[in-house]
Amino acid sequence: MVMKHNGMRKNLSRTIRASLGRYIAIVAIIALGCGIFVGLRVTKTDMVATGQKYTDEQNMFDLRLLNTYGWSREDVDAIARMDGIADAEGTVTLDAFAQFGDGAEDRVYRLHSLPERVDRVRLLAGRMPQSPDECLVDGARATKDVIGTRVVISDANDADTLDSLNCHTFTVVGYVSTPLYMDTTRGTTTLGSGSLSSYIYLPQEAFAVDYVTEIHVTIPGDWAIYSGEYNDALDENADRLKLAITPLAHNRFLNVKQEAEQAYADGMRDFNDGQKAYTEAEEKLRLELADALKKLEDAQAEIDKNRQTLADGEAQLSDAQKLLNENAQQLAQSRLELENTKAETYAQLAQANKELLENYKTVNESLKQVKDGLAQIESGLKQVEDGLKQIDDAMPLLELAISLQEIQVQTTQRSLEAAKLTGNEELISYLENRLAEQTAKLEEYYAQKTEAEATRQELEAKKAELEAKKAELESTQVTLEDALETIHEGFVELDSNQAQADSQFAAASARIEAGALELEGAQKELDGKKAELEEGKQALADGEAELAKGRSDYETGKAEAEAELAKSKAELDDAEAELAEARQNIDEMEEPDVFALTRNTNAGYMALDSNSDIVSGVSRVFPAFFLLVAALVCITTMTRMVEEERTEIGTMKALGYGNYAIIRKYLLYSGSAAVIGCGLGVVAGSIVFPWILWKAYCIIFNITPGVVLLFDWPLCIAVVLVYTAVSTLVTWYCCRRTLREVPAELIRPKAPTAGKKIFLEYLPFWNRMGFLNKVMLRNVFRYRQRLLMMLVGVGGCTALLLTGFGFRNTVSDIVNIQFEEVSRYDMQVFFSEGQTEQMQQSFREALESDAQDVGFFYQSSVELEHNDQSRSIYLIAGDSSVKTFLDFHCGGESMDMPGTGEAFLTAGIADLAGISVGDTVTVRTTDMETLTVRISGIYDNHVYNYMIVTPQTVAEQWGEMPEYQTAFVNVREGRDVHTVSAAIGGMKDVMNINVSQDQAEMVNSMMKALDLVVITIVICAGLLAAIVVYNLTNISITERIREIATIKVLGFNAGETSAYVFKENILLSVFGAGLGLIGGKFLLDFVISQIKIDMVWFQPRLSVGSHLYAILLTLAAVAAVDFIFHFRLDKINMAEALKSVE
Amino acid sequence: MPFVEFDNVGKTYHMGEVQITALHDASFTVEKGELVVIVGPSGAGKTTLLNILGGMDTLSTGHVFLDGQEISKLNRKQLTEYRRHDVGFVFQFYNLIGNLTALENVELANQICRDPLDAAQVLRDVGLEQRMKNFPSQLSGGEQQRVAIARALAKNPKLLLCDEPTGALDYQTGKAILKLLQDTGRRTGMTVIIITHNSALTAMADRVIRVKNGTVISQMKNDNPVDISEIEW
Repeated sequence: MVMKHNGMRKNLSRTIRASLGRYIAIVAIIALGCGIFVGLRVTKTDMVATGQKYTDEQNMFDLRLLNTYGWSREDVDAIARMDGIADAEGTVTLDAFAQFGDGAEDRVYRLHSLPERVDRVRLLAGRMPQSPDECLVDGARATKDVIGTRVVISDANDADTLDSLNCHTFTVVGYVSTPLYMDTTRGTTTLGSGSLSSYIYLPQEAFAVDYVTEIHVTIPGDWAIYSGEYNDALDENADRLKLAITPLAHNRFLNVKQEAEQAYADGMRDFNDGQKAYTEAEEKLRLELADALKKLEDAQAEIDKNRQTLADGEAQLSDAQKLLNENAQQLAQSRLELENTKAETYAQLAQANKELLENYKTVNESLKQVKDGLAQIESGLKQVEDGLKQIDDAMPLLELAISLQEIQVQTTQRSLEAAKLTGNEELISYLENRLAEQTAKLEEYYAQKTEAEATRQELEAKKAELEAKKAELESTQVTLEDALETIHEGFVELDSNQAQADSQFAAASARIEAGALELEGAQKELDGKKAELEEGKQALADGEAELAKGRSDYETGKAEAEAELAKSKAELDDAEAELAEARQNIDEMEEPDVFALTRNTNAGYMALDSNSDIVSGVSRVFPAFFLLVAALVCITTMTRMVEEERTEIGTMKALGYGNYAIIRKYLLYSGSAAVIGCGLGVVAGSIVFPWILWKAYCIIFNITPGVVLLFDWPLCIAVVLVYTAVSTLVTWYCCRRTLREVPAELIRPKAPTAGKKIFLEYLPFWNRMGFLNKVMLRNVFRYRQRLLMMLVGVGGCTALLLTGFGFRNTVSDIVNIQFEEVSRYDMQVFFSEGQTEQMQQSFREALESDAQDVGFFYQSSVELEHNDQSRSIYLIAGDSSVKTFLDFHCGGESMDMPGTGEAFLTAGIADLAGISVGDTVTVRTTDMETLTVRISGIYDNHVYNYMIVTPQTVAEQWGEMPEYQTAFVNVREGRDVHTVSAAIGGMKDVMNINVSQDQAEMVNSMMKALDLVVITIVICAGLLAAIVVYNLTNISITERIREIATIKVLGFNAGETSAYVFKENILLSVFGAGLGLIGGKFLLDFVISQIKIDMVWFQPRLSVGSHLYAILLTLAAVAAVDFIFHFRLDKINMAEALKSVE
Repeated sequence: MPFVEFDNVGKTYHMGEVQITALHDASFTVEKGELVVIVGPSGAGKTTLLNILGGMDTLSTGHVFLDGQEISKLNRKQLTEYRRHDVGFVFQFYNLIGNLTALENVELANQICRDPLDAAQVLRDVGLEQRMKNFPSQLSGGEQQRVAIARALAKNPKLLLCDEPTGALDYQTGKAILKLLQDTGRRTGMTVIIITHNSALTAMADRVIRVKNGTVISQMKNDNPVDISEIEW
């Protein structure tokens, strides 16, 4: 036995090794099938488990208790102490406009007080607030940058809101996730556009209120979320608690009413006090004003008096000044005269002096001349006397000389007479010359004597003249010297005159200066007086200014006091009005509406459930399909294997082995492949699919830290059992027929599958077909099993691809269709108050050049309650002009407007809530007003859900026409939407603008999440096709190896051989792909029908491109496999293959 | 120069670690138009020899020539061409394509070669005029072998190689097939090489080549071949 077992085991493992390709194909197809099934199935479980873990960890509320008046702290304690309550915590929530970051626009945020126990937040980054001015924000799409941002509570909020908060500026210190907001929807509000932008958690100290707005309650027990028992428990507790808290709410109501009464009484008292105070103040003011006025008038009188005094003083001063000026002028005149006289006198004196000096000079000159003349004369006299004396001295000598000369001449004359007698001639001449000489000489002497005597006479004459002259001069000198004396006396007289004048003038000057001094003193005195007067004037001016100020003060004071009084009066009036309103409010105060809302009313919580349902919906289609493919792969493989090992089976049988012993090998073969495949599949599928899909869903859900990966053991075991069972059953089925044959037959080679004519051969075109095509077609129909499998595998691949691409088409088209075909407005404008006809008109006029169409409607977020589920939708009330902006189509049919008491509903919500035409539904506004209408039409709409009614319907049920706070706007051709929206943003009452284009982009980005799902499907489909085609080709080739070897021997080259083998593959692939296109359409419809999301309604769509891609990718997968096998074919050893049939 | 020449041909298979010598030092020659019988016991290397000559297998040593062309030098692609145009095969188990009719099986071969004979005519020649439209499974063993021979002949090859053509047939049918081969050879002048383990057939051959233990032990020319119908075994 042991030996036998060993032999069997060896046989098995050898077989596996020999046919590893096939074995792996079975393992792979089973792994793929199991993986997808388990993966998609467990994804729902994982998603729910993720939600369970998160809600458990954060202690999510089971019930929320609300009433119109809020709850007191005592109520919270009382509820916490109730039976069947695990915990209760009161929180404050407040919707307010705020700016996220400095300068950001106002948006509506829901401010929550930070809870401690129930609905705890999970800090994703940053830290918890430590002071009242710190806050935590929505972590759904937050990044670290958000920390440190300032959140400013807008002044646009009403007073109650602002009063409810201790701080109005908060610093973001962290961001969180919270079970209250697990998905991307943030809920609705009565403020602004009606939808909340985000939430903000504030420390409890930041709220300045003494009540809580809601109580979050948990019930004891570990409940499986979304389970029926849990939902039952929730409903039960909701009913029970609603009963239990109604009295509390009633008390609260009484307290609030009493407080209001108290407040009213206080207000009344304050009002009366105020009234009294006002009257008193008024009287007091009157008195004070009169007093002040009197004081002012006294001051005026005094000032007037002072002014008169000053004027008098000024006149006196003026006179004095005038006098003074006259005196000064006289003085100046005197001074001038004196100066003139002085100048004249001095000029005369100077003239006299000058004349005297000139006389003196002349006389002196003359005297000098006289004296010079006398001196000349004296010298002349002296010369003359000298001459005379000379002459007197010279005369004797001259006479002596003449006497001598005469002797000599006589002597010579005698000697000449003597020589004349002798006759000596020479002597005679000589003596004659001599005589001549001596005679000349004597003559000269005689002349000299005459001259001298003449000179003497001349000199004597001269002497007499000189002496006469001298006498004359001496007489002149005396005259002159007398004149000089006279002049001198003149000088003395002049000096005395000068001195006299000097002293006279000095005296006069002194007199004048004394006068001037006196005058100056008088002036100074006058100036002093003038200064005094000026001071007096200044003082007067000051006094006047002061008075003026006093007057203006009086006026301002009076005005202020009167304004104050008026204000007080107005305040009093307001207070009176307020009191009246308060009175009315108190009188109108009604019993509170009490709500005990279960967790099922939380959008995020419900969205997780519905989204996980989508996945499980998708998972419903794939498993059966993949199981079918796996079974087919198994059948073909095992059939082939049994055929191949026919002889071996025969031999074993001949050796006496029982059927079981023989079949066991094959059962083990396929069974082990199934177990391995399932093992790989469930492990990989349980990890890969939830992980990928959760990644995609992370765009919608903000649940931290991440997906919980579970092994759904029962499911995994079931899957392993089913796959193993199917594969072994299939194997048994394949072996059964062979085992029934007797060994003798088995040992003989099985007759090759009979060739036979196929139905196509009877068709006329058969004969015209190429030879190889005939072979191909016969081959196609020769192996039905494989034909089926190829079609299923390849077709399935195409179908899956088409589903994947179609899914993408469907999703990506939604936004385009919605915003281009259905919602045809460019923007929605929300106003802070209802727009009257007149306001609408002015808005239209302001937009004349920008807007094509403008329509005003009522739009509000309402809760649609149907089948115990509550869903948020938008209610739009408007006349038929709404059709300009919204398209009401159902399929191809256009719809008009709903009648009174009727409504149109969007298809998405109708599908989801199971509402059909003719049903009557009720919607509830945030103000708890309800509207009950009959659905008269359901129209195609993809994004968001709307209910359309006419204003008459609303008026009928609410008793008043709805307020048109929303406008739809279509901009004119060529105008930029954002420019127009910015312009509108600055207009009166405009609070918020939704630009369709922006919304489209937002939704588009959300839809990108689904790309991952598409990629997953594409990969699975590709794998499916590859495995099936690989397996089939592999089997087909081994089976037909002799045939292939034969044609190779016949000389078919590599390409022709491949064509011979693969032609049928390609044909079947094309057929399969064609069938896949049809199947894919149905599959897509099915998958889309399984997807139900509140906000978005899908309608299956397929583009031409998607068809092409699906086919091309399928054929590419087939081609890739064929490419691999082309080389396998090339390697077939003909000699080996044809050797013999064992 | 002989039509076919085997010159010291050897063939060694490598099966992992083990080396198997299927053929060694095999030499023989065949003249054109001869009917050659290669005879030897099972495992002697007859089929290896035929495979090499038919271009289905390569040799390890030596040279093979056909009509002056050295077969042993051809690469894979050339070998395919060689099989396609120069050689016709007939196998023990016919190796007909089950999915094709008799006629189509013949056409399968003649569709790819240069100078084929008319498929229907060849079938008529081998006596299957009535069975042309039948699928192999509808034919008897002898008829199938005739189709196989027709398929080989239709290619109008230089050489017809038959590997135990009668191995799976009964005596009479086998004889008829052999006769067909002999007649065809004689009629068309085609060189026909028949492999058999049946020594009795040597009498019908123009040339007998004996193979044993992986080598050619003798080759002799038979100047007086007898008609197959005269041979009994």
